Amino acid sequence: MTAALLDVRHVSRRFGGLKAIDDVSFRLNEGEIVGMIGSNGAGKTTLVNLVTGHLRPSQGEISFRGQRITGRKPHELASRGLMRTFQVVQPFNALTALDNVAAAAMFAGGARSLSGAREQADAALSSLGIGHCRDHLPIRMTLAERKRLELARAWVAKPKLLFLDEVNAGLNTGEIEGVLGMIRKIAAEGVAIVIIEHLMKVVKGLCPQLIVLHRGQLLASGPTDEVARNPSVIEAYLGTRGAAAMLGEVR
Amino acid sequence: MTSRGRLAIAIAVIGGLACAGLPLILAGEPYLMRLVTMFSLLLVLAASWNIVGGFTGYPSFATGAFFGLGAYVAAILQAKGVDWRLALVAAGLAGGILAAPVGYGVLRLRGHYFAVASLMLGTILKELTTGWSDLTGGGMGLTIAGAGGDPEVLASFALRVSLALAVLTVLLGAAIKWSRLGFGLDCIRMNETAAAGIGVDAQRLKTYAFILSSIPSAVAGAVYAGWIGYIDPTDVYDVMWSVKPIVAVLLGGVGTILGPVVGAAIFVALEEIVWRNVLSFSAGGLGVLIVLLLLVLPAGVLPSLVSRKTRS
Ligand SMILES: Nc1ncnc2c1ncn2[C@@H]1O[C@H](COP(=O)(O)OP(=O)(O)OP(=O)(O)O)[C@@H](O)[C@H]1O
Ligand SMILES: [Mg+2]
Repeated sequence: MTAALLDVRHVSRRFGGLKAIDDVSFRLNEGEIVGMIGSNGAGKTTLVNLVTGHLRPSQGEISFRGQRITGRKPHELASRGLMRTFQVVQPFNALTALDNVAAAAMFAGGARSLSGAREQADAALSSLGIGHCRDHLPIRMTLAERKRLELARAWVAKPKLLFLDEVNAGLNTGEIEGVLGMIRKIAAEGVAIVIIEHLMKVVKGLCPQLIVLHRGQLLASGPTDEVARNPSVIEAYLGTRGAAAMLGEVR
Repeated sequence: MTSRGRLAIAIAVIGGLACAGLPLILAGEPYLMRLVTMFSLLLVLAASWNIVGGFTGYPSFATGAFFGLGAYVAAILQAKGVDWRLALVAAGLAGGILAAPVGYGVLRLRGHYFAVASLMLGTILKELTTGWSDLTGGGMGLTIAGAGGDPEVLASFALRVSLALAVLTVLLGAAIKWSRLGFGLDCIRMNETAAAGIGVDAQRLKTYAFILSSIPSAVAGAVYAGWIGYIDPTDVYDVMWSVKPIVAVLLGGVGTILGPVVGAAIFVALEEIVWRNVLSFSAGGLGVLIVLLLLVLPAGVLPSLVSRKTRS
C-alpha cells in the first residue's frame, strides 16, 4: 500500500465544552477528489482549519506526504503544498487582483522575484477567466470573481492538496458552472482536492469520494453513490424530509 | 528607469545635498541649527515607527524605549572612553538585539493589546536604568564626556550626524517597502490570516520589521545624548519620544515613504509656532492644532495632496 497523501488520525478539537471535531480519522490519496458534506455547524471548516494549521488539534495526529504536521503553522504547510480557500473570501483589499495572486506565487509558490511572481499570477488569472480583473482592487470585483481570485491564489502556490471551503456559496447557477470548470482544470493537473459543498448536485458531478461529518463526527466515507445511499447519512444530513429528494438525485 | 528608482535617487541626492549644504548655510544660526537637528531626530523616529506602525500595521509605542536605550548605551560607552562612532554602532546593535526577543513575543498580540504591551517596554527600561545607578547614574543622570568642547562645533556636528541618519532611515524605509519583506508586511497589515494562508511567515517578518525599526531609533537616542551632553531617565524615556513620531507620521501619511518627512516638518513647525506664541498653553494648543489637522486631512498631508491631484 502506498503512503497516503494526507492521513488524519483520531483528531479532536474542543471549543470550551463543545466538541467541534470528535475523533475524526480519514485518508486521502494523491490526485483524489473528495467531497465533504455536513449540515451547518457540523465541523467542516474546523476540520480544514485543523489540517491546514490554522487551529491546533486538542488530540490526534495529522500526516501530510508521509511527515507528521500536527501543530505546524499555516505558512509552512502552504509552502509544502497544503492550501485552502476561505469560506468567507479573504482578499488583500489594497492590492490589485494581480498582486493578490503574485503574493501567493511569491510566498507559497517560491517565485524568486516580483516580476516572476506577477507573470505566474497573470497566467493564473487568465486561465481562471478573470484576466480582465488583473488591475482591479478586490472591492470592485463581483463575488464570483473574488471566489475565482481565491482559487487563483491557491493555485499559483502549486499545491499537492487543496481544500475548497464552499467556493460556490452565494453564486448563481451559471457562475457555479464556471467555477466548476476551473476546479476541473486544477484537478486535471493532479492536485488532490477536498470540496466542501452544500449542493449535492455539485458533489455528485465532481467527487467520486465523499466524507460526511455530523456534529463533529465522521458519519460515513467512501464512494459517493454508496455514501449518499447510506440511511443514517440521509437522515442526519438531510432530515427525513429531504431524504426522498436526495435519493432521487442519486439514482 | 522605474518611478521607484527615481524616487530613491531623488531621496539620496536631496538628502546628500542637505547633509553637505545645510551645516554650511546654517553656520552661525544656533536657533535654526537646533530646529533642523530636532527635525532630523524626529524624522528618524517617525520613519522608524512607519516600518512597524505603517507598513506592518502594528501601532508600536516602543520607539521611545529604543531611543532611551540607545542614549544610555552610547553615553555609558563614551564615558568609558569609547569613540563616538563605535558608540553609535553599539547603540544600534543594542536596539536590534533587544528588539529581537521583545518583538518575537509582543508581536503575537494585536491592536490595543500590542500597543499597551509595547508601551510597557519603555517603562521597564526606565525603571531598570534608574535602579542600576552604578552604571547609569540612576536618577541623577549621566554627563557625556567630550561634550564639553566648543558648543558651535558640537551643534554643527550633531546637525550633520542627525541629518545623515535621517536620510539613511528614509532610504531604509524605501528599501523595505519595495522588497519581498515589504510585500509580506503589506499582506500582514491587510489580512494576517490570509497572509499565513499564502505562505507568509508573519511572525518572522513582523519581528524583522520590529528589529529594523528599532535600530535607527536607538542610534537617534545616541546622537541626542551626544548633542545634549546630559541625559536622565525621565528625559530620554519620556513617552513623548514614542508619541511624537506617531503624530508626525499621521500628519504626513501613514505607510508612505515621504510621509514621515512631511509630517516631521509640519510637527516641528507647529511646535515652534505654538511654543513661541502661546508659551503658557503650548502643549494644549499643539494638541488642538494636531487634532484639527487630522480631522481635515485624515489620511495625512501627502496622500490627501496626491488624491486631490488625481481627482482634478
Ligand atoms: N473559533 C471557534 N470558537 C468557538 N467555537 C467555534 C469556533 N469555530 C467553530 N466553532 C463551533 O464549532 C462548530 C463547528 O463549526 P464549523 O464552522 O466548523 O462548521 P461548518 O461545518 O463549517 O458549518 P457551515 O456549514 O455553517 O460553514 C460550530 O458549532 C461552531 O459554532
Ligand atoms: Mg464552514
